[in-house]
Amino acid sequence: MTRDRRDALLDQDWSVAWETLPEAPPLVPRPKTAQITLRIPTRLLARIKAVAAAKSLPYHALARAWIIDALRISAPRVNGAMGDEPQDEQMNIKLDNESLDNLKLRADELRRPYHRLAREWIEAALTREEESLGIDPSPAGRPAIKDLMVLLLHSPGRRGDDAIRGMTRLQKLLFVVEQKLASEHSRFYAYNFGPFSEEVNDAAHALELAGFLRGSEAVKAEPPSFAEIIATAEGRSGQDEEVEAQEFALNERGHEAAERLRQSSRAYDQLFAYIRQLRQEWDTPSLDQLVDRVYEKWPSFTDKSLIKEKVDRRSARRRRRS
Amino acid sequence: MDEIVVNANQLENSPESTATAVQQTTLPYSIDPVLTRFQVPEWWKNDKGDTKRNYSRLGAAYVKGTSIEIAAGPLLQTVPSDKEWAVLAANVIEYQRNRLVQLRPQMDLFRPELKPTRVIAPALVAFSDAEDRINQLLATAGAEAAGEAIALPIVVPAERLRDVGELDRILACAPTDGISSYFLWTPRVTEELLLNDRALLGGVLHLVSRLAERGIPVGHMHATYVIAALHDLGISAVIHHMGWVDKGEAADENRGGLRSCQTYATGVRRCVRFDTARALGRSLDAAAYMQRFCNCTFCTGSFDAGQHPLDLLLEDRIVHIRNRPDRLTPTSRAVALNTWHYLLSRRQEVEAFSAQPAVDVLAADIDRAAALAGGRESDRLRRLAAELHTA
Repeated sequence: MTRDRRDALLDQDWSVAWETLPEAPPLVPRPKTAQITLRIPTRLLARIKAVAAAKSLPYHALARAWIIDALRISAPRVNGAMGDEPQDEQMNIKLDNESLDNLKLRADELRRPYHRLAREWIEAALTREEESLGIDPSPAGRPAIKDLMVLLLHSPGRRGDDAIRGMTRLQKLLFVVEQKLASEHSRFYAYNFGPFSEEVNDAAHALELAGFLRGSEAVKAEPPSFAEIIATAEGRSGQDEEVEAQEFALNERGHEAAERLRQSSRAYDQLFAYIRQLRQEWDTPSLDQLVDRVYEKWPSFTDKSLIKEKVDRRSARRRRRS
Repeated sequence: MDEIVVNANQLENSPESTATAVQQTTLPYSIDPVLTRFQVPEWWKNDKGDTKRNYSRLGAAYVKGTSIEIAAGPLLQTVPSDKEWAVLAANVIEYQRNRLVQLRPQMDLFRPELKPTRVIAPALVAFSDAEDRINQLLATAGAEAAGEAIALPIVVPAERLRDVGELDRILACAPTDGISSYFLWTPRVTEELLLNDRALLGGVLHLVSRLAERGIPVGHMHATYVIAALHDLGISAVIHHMGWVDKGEAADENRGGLRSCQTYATGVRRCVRFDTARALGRSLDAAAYMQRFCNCTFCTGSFDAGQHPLDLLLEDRIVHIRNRPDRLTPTSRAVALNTWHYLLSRRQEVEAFSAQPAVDVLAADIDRAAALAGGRESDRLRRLAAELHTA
């Protein structure tokens, strides 16, 4: 095309002809399916996987089916219960283009971003499925001992200090907390010195390894320096001799973690308030007094106790005095 | 690259602290399902004859959805059908993938999920053809359940290790499809046994070379210095225990009891008694010690801090036991330091065999052992060098 011819074409008024032109075909055909990526809290993903496993379905397919169902019935928007939990996980869901368009339309009608609407529908359907399958949405149906321990150590003791002195006291206080929350299927059992759970020792060690307890440092990935090796070894050097009772107290990082846990849901906020109250009530200055109360209130956990008679005699003396 | 292998029985013994340790290190991890522990009653029972709590929990997870009465008797007798073996294999895979996810308390939900870097097939100690058949079935069912290639342990007892014909039967039952790597393990075969019994070492060499020919990486599940030295023959990964006293890592658990006064002497590449170590290295100055005995981070740091490392490593105390003679045992601090010292020494060894031909590493180590302890110790390494040369 010559320059003159091109200039002539550009100068011409094409506005009338433009309206009569057929629509141009898409240069690249639209794919049949599209993918949406949802950012979701870790716990929500774990719950979806649990339901999917119970139904023997892939969890992506299950989530897609929930979105399609919600579209079919023009479901309303629903407020999720996950609150402001961090959305650390992502889930990719394939939808056909028509469904995606419908999702966007519906989101527009409900004045919600479509990602958020999809997430809320998934959560609502998940809750229904959990109910129908009888799945408890909490991780193990009840708070883990580690959670209870952190909240207990986050609560102030009677004298204002939050430290708990000695493993026996820690065991007994957590036993009280567990019994008061739900006594069925206790994780504690009758042992040599009354109710005991190895989960308490394990959780205390876990908090130590995580660097949440006073005097502890978090485990690292790199090989340690000489000074670090010596520090870890010195920490064990007292085990050969009779040592003073270990003191359990959260450090700053531990308290931050506890606060995060408390704020993770309303249920945990309430749980913390209850544990705080229990600690005020049960964490007596004298360990004997705490042990005696536990033995008296929960005698079935003292069957195998090697000190049962001693505790009984002590309790009897106390009763006589009062 | 460093990785952690967590034994499933350890995980069930202290799930929270084990998970936290794994999480904190940020290293890749995998779980050894230790299905072998359900083969022989003594391996899962305590001294009173009861099933240990951790094995009860582990067994319950493995037999979910089956009629298997695990821990009611040897596993081979309690699984009624091949179908149930396949379900058990799928459960073992599921356990490895989800155990650390499931046990997360609320306070850890803010952290990313812990997923194993590889899935390990369930396997039995291959005592006989009966176990070989089940191992084949477990490997196939495990790979199918995993939906990806998995690591396959091949656990060969010493009795079959001496017989090449037996080894070939075991190898014939080890599939290649769906397998990403093989992990050998020869329970109760200590380093000294390997060096003193040519038939045993020959058996290990046979297994390693035959498996390496398949083009699939071969590792060892309880490696020693001798096993690391087989790098050039096909061993491409080693897993090692944290204990420095070589017991050949039996399929059953190490029972408790007081520690014996032994330390890993890097210069002679084996553990020796405290008095031997003291005689070998305590009189050496820093330069001589690091040249002959050990130059790991711990030993170097100890000299820098003005202390002879053996004064720390060989610290002991007398324990009084009622109705028994007094016993000399390492202090807790010495036990902790020996653990680090051993791990740092082993790291140096593995890195050396990865970086240089085994013959060169061995030549340097023979010179070192000779300078430190004379003929006997260097002869031991010379024997190994000769075997490798022949192989």
